[in-house]
Amino acid sequence: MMKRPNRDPEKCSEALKRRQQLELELLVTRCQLGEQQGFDQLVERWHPPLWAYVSSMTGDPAVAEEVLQEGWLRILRGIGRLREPARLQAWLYSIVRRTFMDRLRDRYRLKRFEPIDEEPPGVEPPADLDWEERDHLQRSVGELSLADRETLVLFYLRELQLEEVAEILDIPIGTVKSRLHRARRALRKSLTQKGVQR
Amino acid sequence: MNQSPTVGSPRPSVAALQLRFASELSTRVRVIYTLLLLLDLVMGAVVVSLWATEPSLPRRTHVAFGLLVTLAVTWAVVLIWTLLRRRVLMARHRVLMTRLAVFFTGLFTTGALVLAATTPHLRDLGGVAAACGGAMVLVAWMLNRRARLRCASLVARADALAIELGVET
Repeated sequence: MMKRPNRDPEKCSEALKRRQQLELELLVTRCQLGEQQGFDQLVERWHPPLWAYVSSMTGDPAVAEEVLQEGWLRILRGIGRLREPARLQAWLYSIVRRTFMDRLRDRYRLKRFEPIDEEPPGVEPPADLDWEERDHLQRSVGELSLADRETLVLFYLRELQLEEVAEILDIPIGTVKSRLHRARRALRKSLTQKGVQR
Repeated sequence: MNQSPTVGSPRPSVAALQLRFASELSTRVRVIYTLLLLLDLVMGAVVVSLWATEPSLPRRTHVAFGLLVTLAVTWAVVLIWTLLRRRVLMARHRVLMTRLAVFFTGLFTTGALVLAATTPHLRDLGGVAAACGGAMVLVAWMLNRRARLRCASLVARADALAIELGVET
């Protein structure tokens, strides 16, 4: 008798998750061995989302490029010491974030830091919005404080888990939730003022 | 992943970054740093041997030897830091570099032993140099063993994962 194919969505998603974890582990192992192909795959897979994250934080493509170049060098130099491949995603984001924070600290130290308020940081708004709504959303996100903005970007736009966001930002999960709550409220208020109703 | 026009294409591009990584991972540069480190250690061992076997030296010569040894130690620290933090050695690099270390320290130790055995007036110098070389061979061998074990475990894990995923290694 033929077996019925497994169509249980929960089991399918479990199997998919397991496969993704194994793929991540294989990628990390190849990089730790020093395989060029492994690093090529790592860059191919993670450079676009990391770029989108840094761009949404800085709002300046030139700064984002510098941060990301430095961040990738740190990733290359540190991946040999990564003991838990399953944490790769959170580890990559936290390294890039630390690089960005170091850069901000340097700029404050040199007293050359100027807040970017003319051009709001670029974000990827949902595709179903019209151009005006997208523009309003971008501006409203750009008006958020850096802490609220990065939490919002990581959770909603990069679709990371609460635990991963907490690990990347090095804060408790409760703080992530309160930042998200504050950011949503500020965003709603700002969008309402701009006349966006949904 | 879809990129909106707001965020734009990643900079540097994926291809440019891959190219940069290729040069960052270059084995040639790592071999050069490793050879420099080995040369520095061997020269340091020679200076220590000379210093230890010449007891009746004027004070200024002792100071000069002390400075030379300090210089060698400083360079060794800088080169080790470079290989651990800047031109990081990945698992396969470590196996290759520690093999080089075993070979060159072994060569130095053999040279010192031959010198001690064949040249009577340099016996003390050769003996101290061989002792320094022996210690370096031991350290290099231990590092090589550790590197081989780590590399073998990573290769085994990669193979097991590839089989489970049904992909080629």
